[in-house]
Amino acid sequence: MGTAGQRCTTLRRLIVHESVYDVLVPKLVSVYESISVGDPLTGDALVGPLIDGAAFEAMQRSLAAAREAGGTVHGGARVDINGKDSFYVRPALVEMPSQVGPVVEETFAPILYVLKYRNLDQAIALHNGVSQGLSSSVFATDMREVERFLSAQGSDCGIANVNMGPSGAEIGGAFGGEKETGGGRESGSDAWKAYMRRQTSAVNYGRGMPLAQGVKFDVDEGSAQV
Amino acid sequence: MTEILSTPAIPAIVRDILASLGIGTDRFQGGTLVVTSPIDGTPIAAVPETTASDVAAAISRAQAAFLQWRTVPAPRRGELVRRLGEELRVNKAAVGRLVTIEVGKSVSEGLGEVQEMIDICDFAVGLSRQLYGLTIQSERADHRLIAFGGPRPHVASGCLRRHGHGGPALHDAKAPDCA
Repeated sequence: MGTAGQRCTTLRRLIVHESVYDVLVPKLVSVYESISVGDPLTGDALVGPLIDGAAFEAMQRSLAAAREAGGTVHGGARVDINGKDSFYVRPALVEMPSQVGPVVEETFAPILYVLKYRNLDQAIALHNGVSQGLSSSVFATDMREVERFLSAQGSDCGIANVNMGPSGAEIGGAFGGEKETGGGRESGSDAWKAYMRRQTSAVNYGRGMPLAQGVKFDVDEGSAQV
Repeated sequence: MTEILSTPAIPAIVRDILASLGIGTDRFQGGTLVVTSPIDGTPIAAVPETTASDVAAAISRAQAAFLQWRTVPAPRRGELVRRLGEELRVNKAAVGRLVTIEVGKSVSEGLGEVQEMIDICDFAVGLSRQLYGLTIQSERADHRLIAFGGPRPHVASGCLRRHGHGGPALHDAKAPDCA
């Protein structure tokens, strides 16, 4: 919900184990109903405005498509703040029976789709079953589940966090994603090297002229004279 | 319909912030590209648009500057980035507020955008004195290989108003080129 759901790393899908779904989701719905929406300059609202009317329309289109696909939508309506030229909304939580329609698309709006899973492999398959791959996270205390999520069989994203949300990266690590949300890395780790022009120099301090890979390209003096 | 006109003077706040940063109204008024604040939809700037020939001229100037800049040793280039970071520290509150007004982030998140720029500057300053290269054994006799990073020529950088990101005037500062 930070930045009204318009961050590139905003959590879009929450995949919840079936054993805790009925406890967790009602709590989340009540948070979504009560979280403060308002003018960011005049109070301590956690959710500010959408960037413009087009963003509001896109959000409503996604919610309508989610309903059509069998989703149960909580929230998502416009909130009357600062007049008709600004667009504040109540963040939406959408319970989805399956991963279809707007769930696999980026809307850049405060919409959280909630899906249910039975085992971790199924959850990871859902997780990776979209065309985006920027940021991800797992909440778990089971070391095997955490490490599996971080392994080659786990998250396919450029960022994979543990016991925190997917947004709010530090600059010390490389930032960037895969698939449609790919495009290299920036900031720390080794990503900064892309900002430099890396130059490789071969220096010959002998008298011969050997070529790499053993290639022979000798020109004898006779053939040089035409 | 209850209309709460919470901050009637957002354009005035923007003017004051930019004035405090040394940016005159001619830089963001009188142009053709109107910028509105998502907070209440009011126009806060009408920025002059850059023409293709303006861009070509700017690229030429950048290229001329690069020919000088590439001769400056990396730690000295890092010193400039250190001073950029100091400027951001001094003006963090003002610039953070500008981010809030321009893209509607909460004040805390607006400040976070500026802190990220400061962190990047610090990181780059540190790197400017740690730009190691490699020496690699050659497969050929009497040869050695060296790999080393040097300054890149200028790169064109777009200023897009991206949803949810920091102010366009600010975002490019996130990757100061210490290299």
